Amino acid sequence: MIRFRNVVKSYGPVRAVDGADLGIDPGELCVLIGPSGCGKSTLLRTVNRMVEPDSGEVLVDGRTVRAHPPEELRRRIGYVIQSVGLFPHMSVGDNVAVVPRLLGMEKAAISRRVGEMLELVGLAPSWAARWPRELSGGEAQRVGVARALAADPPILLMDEPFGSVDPLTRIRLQREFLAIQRHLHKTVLFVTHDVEEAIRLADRIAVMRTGRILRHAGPEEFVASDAESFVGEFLGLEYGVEILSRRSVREALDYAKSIREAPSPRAARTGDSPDPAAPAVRADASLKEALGLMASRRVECLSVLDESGRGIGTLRMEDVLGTWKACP
Amino acid sequence: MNRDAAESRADGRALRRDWGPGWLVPALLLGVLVLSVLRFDLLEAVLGIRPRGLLVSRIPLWELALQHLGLVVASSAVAVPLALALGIAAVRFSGSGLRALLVAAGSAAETFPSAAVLALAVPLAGFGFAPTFLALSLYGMLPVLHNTIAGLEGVPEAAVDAARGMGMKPRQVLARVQLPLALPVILVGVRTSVVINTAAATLGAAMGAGGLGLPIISGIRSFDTALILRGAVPSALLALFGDATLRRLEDRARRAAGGYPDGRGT
Repeated sequence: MIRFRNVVKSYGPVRAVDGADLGIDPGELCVLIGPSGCGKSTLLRTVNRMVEPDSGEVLVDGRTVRAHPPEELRRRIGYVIQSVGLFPHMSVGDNVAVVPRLLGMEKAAISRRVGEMLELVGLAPSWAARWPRELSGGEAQRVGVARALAADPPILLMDEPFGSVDPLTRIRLQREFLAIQRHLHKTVLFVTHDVEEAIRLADRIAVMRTGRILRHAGPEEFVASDAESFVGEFLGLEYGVEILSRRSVREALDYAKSIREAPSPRAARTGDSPDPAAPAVRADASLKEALGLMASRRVECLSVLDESGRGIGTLRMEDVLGTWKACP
Repeated sequence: MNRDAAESRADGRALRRDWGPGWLVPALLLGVLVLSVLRFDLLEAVLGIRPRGLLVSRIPLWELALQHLGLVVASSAVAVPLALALGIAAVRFSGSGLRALLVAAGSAAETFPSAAVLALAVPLAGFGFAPTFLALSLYGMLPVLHNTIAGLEGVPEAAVDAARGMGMKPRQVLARVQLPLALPVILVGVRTSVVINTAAATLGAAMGAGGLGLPIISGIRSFDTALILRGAVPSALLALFGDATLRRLEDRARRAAGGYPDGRGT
């Protein structure tokens, strides 16, 4: 869907992007991560021609972006930036309606679309009448996402969209955005320098440094990264723990139970009926949370409860540590 | 997060409430201005003064006031759009050196006294309305030009970036985002320009342009304070009226800009 071929962009003597190659499949959420100044934002902005590369090629749907006038290209690509950039002189509804209006959509269709988009990002349609200055940071960024999605673009460019909100709001926005993405299947290029954010959102992660893509792979493939290499150092030793946030306790339990079918001495003891003395964890908690609970209570097994509070098994630490690799 | 939102919502209400009685001041000033022009003798009776009559013009005060108003309106009508266009061009083609040239020329010209500008216009345009109009137009452009550049450059970069990124053409970015957001600042420049020119137009009398400067000059020549007041009071009231009216427009533009910028004017 998006393909970078040997893209180079210099600012004076500085090569911001230095021969980047990257391909993003349709419906994939690719997180571009790297330290400040590694060229990730510059690379992102070549897709909608906000930055024109000195050499190399950016292809969207197999066609070079230079085949389209910049304005027409941009109207078909959603764009969300860290500072949101809502227009303070327009109501929330008018902000969301900007691109549909540029595309000449009908009035009735636009106002219907505005309501749908606000609902999609978790705001009541009546919010259309509010003003940007009345919004909190998190609310403003929701409107920013609604505005980017308003014309239903197949591609979404997101440049540190949740970078300037408080940590709790950020996690909530990430979760909500993921739910939207599962529903809409946009092709998303997402820039961040936050490793946890990358782990939570990415289908694939591209690590960038000094204008080059060092490695492009699924989040779980990075676990085996050499700690001495730049990629391993940048992701940090805690990556092995962070990655557990992608798996639920239920998945680990199901896996443990499936192993129990096979003859294995370890499996005989996991997924058993709950141990009443062990601290309880909910089945929909992440494995990272389960590991945190084990660490803080200094235990090696937890009893797992389902939504109704019924015990459904026992989770052992060795299952937590093994699951990320074993689960499909 | 919720408290922040509640606070800014309260701000929004305060901004709207400010509307309404705001027009009282300009209306009152207009009333006093009209009264002073038509019945200046009432004020003179209250103060117990009267011009000695040596050099009192036969032209009635209301006619002088209209001449004065005509000078200010005509020069502003030329200066404001011209300065606006130059300011927009300066920002849009900022790489071409036009901006640096205009800002330098503007700053240099601002240090020039308006009397000197008027005096220099005489050899160019002769006596009467024309040189005064020319000088006031030129002089009135400076604050508008200055504030147009400052206003456009002060528009949040994020809003311009978002506008471009969503596919607005440069002209659309200017008309839909930059100008509406810069308007409050531009209008401050317009107000400064109008107030300065209302005062400077009194000097036009020395160049035969008439106006409220006529009684002032005659009064100075004949050491007649009462006669000076006949010109000075209405022209001061006219300046105050213009100032108050344009302030109202600024408030309105600031509200239309969604409360941006947050300052409440000068």
